[in-house]
Amino acid sequence: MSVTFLDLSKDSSFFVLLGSRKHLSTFYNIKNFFNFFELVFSPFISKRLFQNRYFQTRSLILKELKNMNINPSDIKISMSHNKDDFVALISKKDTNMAIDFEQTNRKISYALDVKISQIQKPDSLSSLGFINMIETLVKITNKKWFYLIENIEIKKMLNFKDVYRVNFENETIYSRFYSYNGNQICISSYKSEVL
Amino acid sequence: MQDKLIELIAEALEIDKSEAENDLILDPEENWDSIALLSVIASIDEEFNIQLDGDKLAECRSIPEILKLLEENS
Repeated sequence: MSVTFLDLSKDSSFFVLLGSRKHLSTFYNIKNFFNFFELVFSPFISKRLFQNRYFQTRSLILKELKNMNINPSDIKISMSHNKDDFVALISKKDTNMAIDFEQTNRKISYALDVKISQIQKPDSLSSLGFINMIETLVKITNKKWFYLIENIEIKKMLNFKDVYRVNFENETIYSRFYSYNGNQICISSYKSEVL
Repeated sequence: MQDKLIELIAEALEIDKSEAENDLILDPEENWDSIALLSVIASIDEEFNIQLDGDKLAECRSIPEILKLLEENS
């Protein structure tokens, strides 16, 4: 089981770990017993440790961070899962960044596509990209989906490829899209690390 | 209403209608993700003119539970 390191930052202020969920073992085995105690004494402690996906992905990330000599207490982690894979955005503790990703071929229902097409947004931002972006904004603003879509203004940044500027409550958020292995990754930040 | 709901959920989860009819479990770790939820909210709004609360829908784990939520909101 391996995790892919994606160095997407120009100034090394963040990086992304991408792993597959398909090969993760089940919760109840002896190896996981030891992993569980490691997680209990880490910043990943949560009642969600008993959920298979949470437990397995955090165990894997903890192991990778150890290999990289990174203390989990010194960093901030944002995570996203799709059907087969997961990504973890590792950034400095004083940043407010979030990640979301979807399979590029993920279908959007007709009704949802129509709803999204009625929202004012740049033409270059697809329905899937819009969902991707809003998911990151929900994470960094702690606001609900429908509140956000009524209160944001999205503009494409002309001098940057796949970057959007989001105005929300007198603040600016930057969202950038990346493609990797059939996945579309969106990272949003209150600062300009993603530019 | 039940038959149409099964159809909408099958479309949102990208599965056959027959799979949705057969005691489908809505699992947030597998099939019940944000896009599926948003698709169901949009389809129900369009089809039944009912606006569901996303958090309540996310808690549903089966089609009968969604039906119950629909009845409470209709």
